[in-house]
Amino acid sequence: MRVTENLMVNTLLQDLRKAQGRLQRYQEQVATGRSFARPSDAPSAMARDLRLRSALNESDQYLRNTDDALNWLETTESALNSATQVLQRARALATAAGNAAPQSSLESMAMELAELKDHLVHIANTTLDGRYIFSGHQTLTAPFTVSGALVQYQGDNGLIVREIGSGATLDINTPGDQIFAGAFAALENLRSDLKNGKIDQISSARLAEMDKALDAMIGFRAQIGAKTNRMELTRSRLLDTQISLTRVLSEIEDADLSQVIMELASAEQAYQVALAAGARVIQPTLIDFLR
Amino acid sequence: MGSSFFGLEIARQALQAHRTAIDTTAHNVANASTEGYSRQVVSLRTAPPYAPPSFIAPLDAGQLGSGVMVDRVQRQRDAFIDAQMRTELKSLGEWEIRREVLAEVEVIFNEPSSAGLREVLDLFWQSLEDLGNSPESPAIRQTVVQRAIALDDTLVHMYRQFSELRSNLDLMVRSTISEINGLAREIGSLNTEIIKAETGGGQANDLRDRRDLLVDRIAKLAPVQVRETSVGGMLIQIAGTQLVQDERVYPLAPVNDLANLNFAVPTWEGTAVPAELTTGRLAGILQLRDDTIPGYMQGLTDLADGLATAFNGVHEKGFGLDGLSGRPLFVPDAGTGSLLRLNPDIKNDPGQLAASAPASAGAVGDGSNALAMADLMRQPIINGLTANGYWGSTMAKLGVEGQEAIRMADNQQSLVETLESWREYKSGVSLDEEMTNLIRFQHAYSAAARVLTAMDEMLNVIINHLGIVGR
Repeated sequence: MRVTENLMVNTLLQDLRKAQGRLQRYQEQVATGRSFARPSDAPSAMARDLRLRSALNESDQYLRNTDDALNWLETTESALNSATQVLQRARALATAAGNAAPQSSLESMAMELAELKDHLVHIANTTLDGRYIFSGHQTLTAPFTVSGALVQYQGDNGLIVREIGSGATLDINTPGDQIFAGAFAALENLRSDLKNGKIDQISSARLAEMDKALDAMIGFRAQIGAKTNRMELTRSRLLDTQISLTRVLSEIEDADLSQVIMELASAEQAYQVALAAGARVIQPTLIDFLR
Repeated sequence: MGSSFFGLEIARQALQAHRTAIDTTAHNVANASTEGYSRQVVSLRTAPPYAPPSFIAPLDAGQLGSGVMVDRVQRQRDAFIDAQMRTELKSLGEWEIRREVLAEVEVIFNEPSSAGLREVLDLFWQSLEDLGNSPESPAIRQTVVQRAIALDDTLVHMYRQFSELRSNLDLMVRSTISEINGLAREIGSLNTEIIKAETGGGQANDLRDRRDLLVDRIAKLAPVQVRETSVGGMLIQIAGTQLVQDERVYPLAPVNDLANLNFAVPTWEGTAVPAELTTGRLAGILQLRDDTIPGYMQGLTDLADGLATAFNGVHEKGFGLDGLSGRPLFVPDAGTGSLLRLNPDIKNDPGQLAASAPASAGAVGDGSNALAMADLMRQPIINGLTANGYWGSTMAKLGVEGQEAIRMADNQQSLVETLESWREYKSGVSLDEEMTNLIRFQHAYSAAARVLTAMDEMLNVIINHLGIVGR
């Protein structure tokens, strides 16, 4: 084999270029902390990476939806809690009236009941971020208005849903007339009976109505409680999903630093060896020895 | 019996021959680093012997050597390696440009990143989910509008960059055509010189080296078939059509293709026949310009069209805050250059976003149609894939193409480097070798000079010291 100076120089240059290429690749990985920077570095890992990033964004959004739903349910629960207290107070008044209270106190009871009714209207018109939560879809319209003794429902039967997973939705509202119509009627009947001193009716029909309204309210609260539970489970599942997605994403796209740094060190060494070998090989020719 | 001056003549020839050898050594050393240079070797031969044997001179001692002469100065070159090299260079030229341009495509697509189209699609989807959560909120409606515009902007930005890339590739086509023509003309004129120089015998070594170098260059650009003609010229063809034949050159011309944005088509000058380019750098550029890049652009328009059709279908069914329906979310670009142009009415009045499904007036709290639109991102709406899936598969395809280009270019590079080593092994100048030869030739020269001195002394004896008896 004839070996010429050019051949040695070319080989050296090629070796140096390859060593530098390797060095550059590992350096990039160490600097960015990622095992690939462009599709051609690792096409299939990159496709998975894109999918996972979108899945992460998706679960972020579902988490936000869930938090929003929880917020809504908590507001609903607290409104229904106050409504229960209102009804309980009304029931206590009905019981007291049944125990043959004097006419004057019946009248003051009737006045308190009017107050309670107003308070319940106020509760039924609860808002969250400026939206009425008991109006069905008519979230910008107050669901209940009072005209004289009558409380009228202005909302509709629309259900509001939150998406809490791919294709999984949950109704978070209950239209107000389903919850409050019975209670308003019971309160109004009781008030008018008290005012008119119909004690007999109070202890029988009115008390039964009040119990029914209370039962219904408790039923709705149980429903909200169940939904809240489901949301909390969903929330913790979504948090778990996020953690595992983040982990898998990091496994795919993060460079294994200990390994890459080892590779970098060995590439560095290979480069230096090539340089040292080049320095030795290139120097001497016959001319150095001729005199 | 030879003449008295016979020996002088032998010495003179020896001096001359070794002078030639030393000059050639000097030429080799001088061109040790010249690209494309092949080392030259002086082949010496004995001069025709004196007194051929004959019947009338039977008592002669035999043939008498008459010295040395230079037979030829020969460049050391392996035609087989040259042919191999040209084959591999064509592929190298094609894959190199492919690697270069696909890397640029990757930069344009900008994935994986938190600023690529995938992220913009996700943000658009998120804004629709938010709209589903709070359809009453003007701020969120505005967000949806802005995210839709951002989606269009991202698509358009990439599309424009691809258009520019195509224009740049077209410029590259034109400059490559003139480069090929320039090389062909230079080869043509070298052919003329070589034919002229070689008519009297011998080889035009340096001119041939230069020509081989130019042929290598042209081989990287176009798939040429190369053959030497009987007179020492060269026949270079592309798919059977002559580019150079001896001193004649048939150049290519960039003919504007009216059907293809006035891009240049390499056509044989003075004809309407396009050059048949199967491989090489020019073919690579043409393929990128007319096939690969338009493919990715088509991917963008497919994505935009798929989104527009699907979203309009759902949006038209829903109702805006004003209780009206039947409005498209995206409208045709109308010369704005948009790929996914948001309905300008909705842009001006985000209340027209049809977030709600029920028609009843005041049902502002219903976001189910917004959720139905959000759900479209999970539906196979673009060539049987979801928007994200389509994007992912486009990126995977780009990744595979890019990887292939890198691998092939690297492979070809290695092959070419190997062939360069072979060529160097055969044709390269070794300084050690030249120095050794220099010493050899120098000694031979000195010895020949010494022979001449001896002859001179002998003649001196005859001329000045004979015939003076008794003087």
